[in-house]
Formats: sequence, structure tokens, C-alpha cells
Amino acid sequence: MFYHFYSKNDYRAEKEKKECFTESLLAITNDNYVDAVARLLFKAEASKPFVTFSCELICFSEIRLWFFSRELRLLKNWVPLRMKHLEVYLSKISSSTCNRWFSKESPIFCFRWGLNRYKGYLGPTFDMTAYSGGWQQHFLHPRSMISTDVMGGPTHRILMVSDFFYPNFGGVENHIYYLSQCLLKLGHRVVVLTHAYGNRSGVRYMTGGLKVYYIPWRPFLMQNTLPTFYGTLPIIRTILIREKISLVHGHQAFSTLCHEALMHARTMGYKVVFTDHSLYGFADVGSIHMNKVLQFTLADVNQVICVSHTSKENTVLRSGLPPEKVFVIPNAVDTAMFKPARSRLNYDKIIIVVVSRLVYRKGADLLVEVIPEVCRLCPNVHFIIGGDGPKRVRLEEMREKHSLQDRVEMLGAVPHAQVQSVLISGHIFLNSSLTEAFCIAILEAASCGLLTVSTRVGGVPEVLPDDMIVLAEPMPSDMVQAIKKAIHMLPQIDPQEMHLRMKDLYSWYDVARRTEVVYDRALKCSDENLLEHLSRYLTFGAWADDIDEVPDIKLPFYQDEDVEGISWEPKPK
Amino acid sequence: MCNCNSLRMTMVTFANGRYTYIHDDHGGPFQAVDSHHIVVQRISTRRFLVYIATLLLLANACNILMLKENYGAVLLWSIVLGFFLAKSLYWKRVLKESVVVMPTLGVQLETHYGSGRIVRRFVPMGKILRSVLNECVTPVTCYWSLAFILRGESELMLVFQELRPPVKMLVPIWKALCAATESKENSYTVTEDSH
Repeated sequence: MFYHFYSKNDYRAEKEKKECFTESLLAITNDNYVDAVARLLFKAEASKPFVTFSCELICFSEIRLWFFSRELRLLKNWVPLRMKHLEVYLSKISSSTCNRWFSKESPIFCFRWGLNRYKGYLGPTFDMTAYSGGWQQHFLHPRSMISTDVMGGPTHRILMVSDFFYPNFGGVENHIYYLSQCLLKLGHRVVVLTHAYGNRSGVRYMTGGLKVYYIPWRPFLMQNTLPTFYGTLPIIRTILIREKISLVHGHQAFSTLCHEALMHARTMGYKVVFTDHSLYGFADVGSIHMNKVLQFTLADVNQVICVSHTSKENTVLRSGLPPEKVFVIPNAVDTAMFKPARSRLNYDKIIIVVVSRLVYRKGADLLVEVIPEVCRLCPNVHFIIGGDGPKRVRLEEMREKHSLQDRVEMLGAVPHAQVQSVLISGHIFLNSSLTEAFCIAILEAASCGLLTVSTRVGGVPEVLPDDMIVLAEPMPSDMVQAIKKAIHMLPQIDPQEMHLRMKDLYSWYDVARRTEVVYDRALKCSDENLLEHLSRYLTFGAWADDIDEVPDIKLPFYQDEDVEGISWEPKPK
Repeated sequence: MCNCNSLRMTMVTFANGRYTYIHDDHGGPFQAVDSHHIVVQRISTRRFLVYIATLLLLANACNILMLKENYGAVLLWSIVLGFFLAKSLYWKRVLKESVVVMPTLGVQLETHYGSGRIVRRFVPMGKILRSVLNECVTPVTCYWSLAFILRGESELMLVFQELRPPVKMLVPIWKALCAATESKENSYTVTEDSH
């Protein structure tokens, strides 16, 4: 059954409201009924105009009951003042018309609904509660309100788990943040779970009402929580119950917290989605260990998302998953933040920008070979190197050795907010990584209008179209040739046009919508029998342990109207 | 008898919980005073188990006494153990915590212990900037607590020091505290400006 709800009236007169509406008829069919017609008309009341459409109810008692328990219960969520009027109205109508319209064949329910285009505002302002399963069972259960998001699908309550989140800045962190923001805009509810960073522990709220739990487990190695197998079970279980989570989404294979959370969530019967952000090897000790852990975790996961096709191949090989379970959803870039320079730079001095962590994995050693060669061959080329790391010393030595102090500028660590200003000062972006599942850095560079030169590794060839990137093998000689080719290509590049193309190609909203599809698929996965017991244990567990459920708080600053605030009325158990 | 009519008591008992919430909105001469109590229920089965456990301990001690000859040490140890048991089970046990709101004067926070000791803290109304419901995250759990943000201090003051009542009981107390502090807010900002 499909139905769309749009709300938010705009305090206009009745006539103007009708002009603003575009009407459309949407047929709802129940499986058992096909023929009879019921049109539902609610008159919108001027005092608190949550309702934008008018519906007329011509139905018979059976359908009226259906509406009361399913549709009207939903509407009750955001038509709080008018339920009484509605019920009275309906009872008046149904008695007179039920004979006329009663039919033993199946009824089709038509909803006439309006779209408020006044401000171009599309979207629900009512709060969502979780979809709790088949509606027939929860017929009159007040909690089983089926809520819809903007596109008409069910909304989810998602828990994102990873060791890597704000205040760290990196690919995974940005991915989680942007994806969460877009999912919030689409109407879902997102909670993030990560470990404490320094003094930052407890509950924090980010933009848009994104709730982050910084649980006070200290990281022990490279930002990873100490992997005690059952240590995090109590806190994860508490959070899953109090936030009424419906789906757990773990990020990054290297994150121990993610693995533990996925394992515990699966044990408790939640649906689980995993996203892998990196490529890993097969041969060395660390990789073998990591792959074993991954096999254990992913054996039971519902769906997996990889950021590129190369990454999908890698993940499937490492974990032994069936490829049908793996989706490919690429990352995206915030094109609003990465805008090109207003005026084009002149070409007498070509500036090549490198912004990356100066570690082995990112090919800092290649840079050490490539930069002197390029400087020797092309006298008008300058380099700007942003970033810090263990290999910085080598680059400084290279600078000294070849006396390139005036041609190579080292900026040190660049804060995330200033990356854009560093990028727009150059013509070409050089990426020399030795392995990349998906390189967001080159997306950022392309969004700023820079031509990219990169090593042909991992998922990099899949990221940009051929006229925006020059690829080379990860060897110094090949890279030098590629840079020369890029310098020749430079006059044909238009930064603004590149930026606009990137805007079309990559957007986080697109990623969020595709991820939604994955979530819907994951939630449709069949339950096992044991899980019925577990879900019963869950409800009993929450009762027994007094885990207080968190109410849905509507934060006023991201909505257009006044909000009543928190409703703390206890829900009947 | 005359006060009973104006005494509004709302008892909200939690389903399986240990806490009972009592709200006294005194009528009569003490109309302004609003007190909220959280009482820890004594579960009879638990008491029974405690008695059984102490009996077993004593039996164990007697057994050891009969086997060994070192009466003094065993006696000493059993007395010490008994002392610690009594301390944790009876003296340190919290019977009740209450919040007495006096709208113009301040808020009195009381903790009643099993030994009869009552610890009282008074917070003047001017000192309270706001009362907040916090979500406290520990390595194993996450719970709600009620606290005051005090003027001029960097740390929050917990309203319930020993007990962790569920959020349904904290909410009416929080609302009452907000109502009491808000009415005074305007006058206090004025006095601060004049300083």
C-alpha cells in the first residue's frame, strides 16, 4: 500500500490554499479489496493548519475501522486537535452513506492530497515513530504508527557505529556525517555511536539533531577501542533499546567497535548493514588477521555497501560473501563547500597542489622522486604540499638536496576548513597514493576545478571521467609523463564547468537515497525463528531493566514553525 | 484531617522497579511548599535472602571456630565482616530522597539513610541557573539524571546523589523546578545588572 502525506499549511485563506494545491489521486488497494471507492475529505481548520488537504469519507463501518486504526492513527500524529471533530464527522457520514456504498467487493481508497508549493516546501513536519511490523497484528496498538518519509517509504531509526567520527576528520568520518545529515533530511532518525575523544564523552547533539554517543571507552591503537568481545555489550544494548533503533549500520572494517556492535546487534536480532571504506591486502599478518575478523562479522550481516566496484571485489574475496549481498554506492563530495576560485589563475606559473597525509600508504615516497624530476623538466612549475606525517622529513630533505625551497612550499597540517583555499590556489592536483578504495580527495579537487593527476590504483579509475583526470602507474617515470601531459591539457580546462559537472555527478542526497534502498532491502530480510524469542526478550528486558526510552525530540531550529517541545507522556507498555 | 483534603498525592509506581514517587503539594498554611519524594521499596524477598545469608555466614564462622583453635582471629574477622555487612546493608542504605521546592527561597535536597541519618543540602533560588535532565553515559550503561546548573560554578550539582530514579519520575520534579526557578529569573537578572 502506498500513500503520500504532505503537511505544512501556510496560514492562507481557504481559496488561496486551493490554488496552491495540485491535486492528484492516488489509489490505495488492500490485498483483499479492489472495487468500491471511498474518498476521504478532511476540512483543514485554520487555527493550526497542519493539514493541507481535504478529504471526504464515504465509507462503511469496516473500512472506517481500518482508517481509524491505521490511517487516522497516523494522521493523529500530526492532527492532534482535530481528531475529535474527525471522529464525529465520520460517524455522521458513515451511517447515512454506508448502505449506499457498501459493497462486498474490494474497496479502493482514494486520497486526494495537496502539495503546498508556496515556499517550495516539501516534507513532513510530524515526528516519526518506528515501523513496528505487520499492521494487522498491531491493529489498535498505539505504537504501531506507520510513518512515511518524503518519498513515501517507511522511515528507519538508524544507529551508525564506528570508531572514526568527529572531531577526527577523514574519509570515513565525513562519510558518516554527511550521510547522516542527508538521512535526517529525508525523515529518518540517526544516532551515531563512537568512542570518547579526550574529554569529549557522553551525549552530544550535532547539526540537524544528530545525536552522538561518545561512550567512555578509551582507544588503544590507532583510534580503535579495546576489543573485549563482550565488554561493549551492555552499553550497546542499552543504546539500542532506549533509542528504539531499527537498523544498525557499521562503518570501516578496521574499527573494533563496529565489529562488536554488529555482532551484538545480530545476536539481538537487529538488521545490520556494513560499509567498507578501504582496500586491504591478503598477504601480510595484519591483513590476514583482519580478514578473519571480517569473515566472522560479515558472515551474519544483512547487506554490505562498498564504495567502488574494486572495493566490492576486494571485500567479497576477503570475506567470502555472496556478491549479491554487496551493493556499490560511491562516496560523494560537498560541492557547496568546494567551489572553484572566482577568477581563473594565469598559466605562466603552473602550481601543483598535493594535500594528503604524508605516510607510506599515500605514496609520499613517490613524491620524493617525482618532484625534483618535474622541477628539472618544467621550469615554471611550483608545488604546494599540505599535510603532515612521518614522511615529511624525507620531503624536507629532498627540498634541501635539490635546492627547491622557492619552488616547493610545505604548509604543514591543513585544517579541514582551509583545504578549499589551498586547493583553489593551484592548477593541478597530484594524488600519489599506493592504494585507494575511493579517493574523496580527487573529488574535492575536481569540484574546485583542478585537473587531477593520480596513480592508477584501486578504485581511482572509477571516480572521475577521463577528461578530468590523468592516470599513471605508481612509478616515478610514468607519473612525470602524466604531469607533463596534464600541463599540456591545462588550457582546455574550465574550472567552473568542472564544478558544475561534479555537482551533477556526485551528491550526498543521492548517496542517502541509494543507502535507503539498501536499508529497505535489509529490513525485508527474513527473520529466523530464534529471533522471535529474542525480540520478546528485548521487550521484556527493557521492562525489567528500566531502560528509559528516549522521547523523540523535535529541535525547533531546523523547522519553520514553533514546536510544542518534548512530549514526555509515557507510552503504554 | 483538615489538610488531607488539600493534600494531593500522586503515586506513580514503576512496574517492577524499586522506586515510589510521592508528590505532596501541601495545601493549607504551607501552600507554597512543594515536595517530591522518591522512596526505595523494600522487597521482602530480598530481606529474607539477606537474613538467610547472614545466618549462613554465622554458621560458617562457628564451623571454622570448632575446627581451628585460633578463636581470637576468627572471632575478630567475623566481627569485622559483620560490621561491614551491617554498614552496607543498613546504615548506608538509602530509604528516601526528597526534593522540597520553596518557590521564593530555594530548594532543599534531602537523603534519608537506613541508620536514621538525614543529609540535607539547601540551594538558594538565586544560585540555580537552570535545572536540567542529563543523559549520563557510563562504559556500561546510559541513564537519566537531574542536575542543577549553578551560577558561578563550573560543575553541575546532582539532585539525587545516591538514587537513580527512572526518567518518568524525574520529569514532574524537573517541571516543578523549572516553574519555580523561572518565576524568579526576571527579578534576579535585574539585581545582577544593578551590581
